[in-house]
Amino acid sequence: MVSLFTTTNSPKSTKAYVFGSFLRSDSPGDIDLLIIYDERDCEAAIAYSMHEQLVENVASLVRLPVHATLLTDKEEHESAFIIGSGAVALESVLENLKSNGRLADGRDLNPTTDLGAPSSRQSHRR
Amino acid sequence: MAATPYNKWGVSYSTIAFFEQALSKHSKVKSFSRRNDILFDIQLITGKEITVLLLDEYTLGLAAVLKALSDFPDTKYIVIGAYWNGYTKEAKEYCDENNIGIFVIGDFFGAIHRKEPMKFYRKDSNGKPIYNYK
Repeated sequence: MVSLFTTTNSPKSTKAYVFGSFLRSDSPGDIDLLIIYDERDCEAAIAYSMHEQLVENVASLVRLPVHATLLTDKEEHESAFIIGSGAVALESVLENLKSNGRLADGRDLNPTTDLGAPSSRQSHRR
Repeated sequence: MAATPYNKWGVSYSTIAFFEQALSKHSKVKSFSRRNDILFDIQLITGKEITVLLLDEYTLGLAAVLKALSDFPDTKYIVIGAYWNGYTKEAKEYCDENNIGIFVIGDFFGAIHRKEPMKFYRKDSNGKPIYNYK
């Protein structure tokens, strides 16, 4: 299991996805991360700071700079970002990297600890 | 945003250089200077001075607007890169309510032709506003 969320203060309702060149390139320059947060759990004004540790954990695991896009559920719904960008659940991407031996430390990851989010977020799709 | 050696918003040198080059050729720009890598103080030939934050975000949401304005409180205009970039309705509404202009690069250079750049918007064939909503 990939583990990124519990060492962070990200709200449990947060969902994270990867999109962009990281999914297509053999040598990406960064990783584009889509973070979808619930305004009831996290005000927009503090959304970046609330998810800072999550971003740092991902950067550390993939050894690349993270370009984070933060949207509320409503903003994501209106923009159809996930469908439009072909974003893939972060945990699926990390699991795939782990199985290919491409994670920085090769450790077991637990979604409910290292990422601070329940594993059910993996199946989030509109 | 992704940290770069020069700015934590991940705005590339090529984007900055393109914006500077376009500013230097714009007929309504008298002079400009850059600080904090991505913040531009622009003097228009009308005498008006505006402070523009240059970002490069595929979709700029409300959280990013609030973070940008916290990082750069002088900002009066946010320019978010090329036409394929955009902003959410929430981001645009917040900017409108707080007198912050938000444009893609092409629209910004159209806006500064106007007496009140903040109020500029493109129109469709029926005269309706075109916004870069995502």
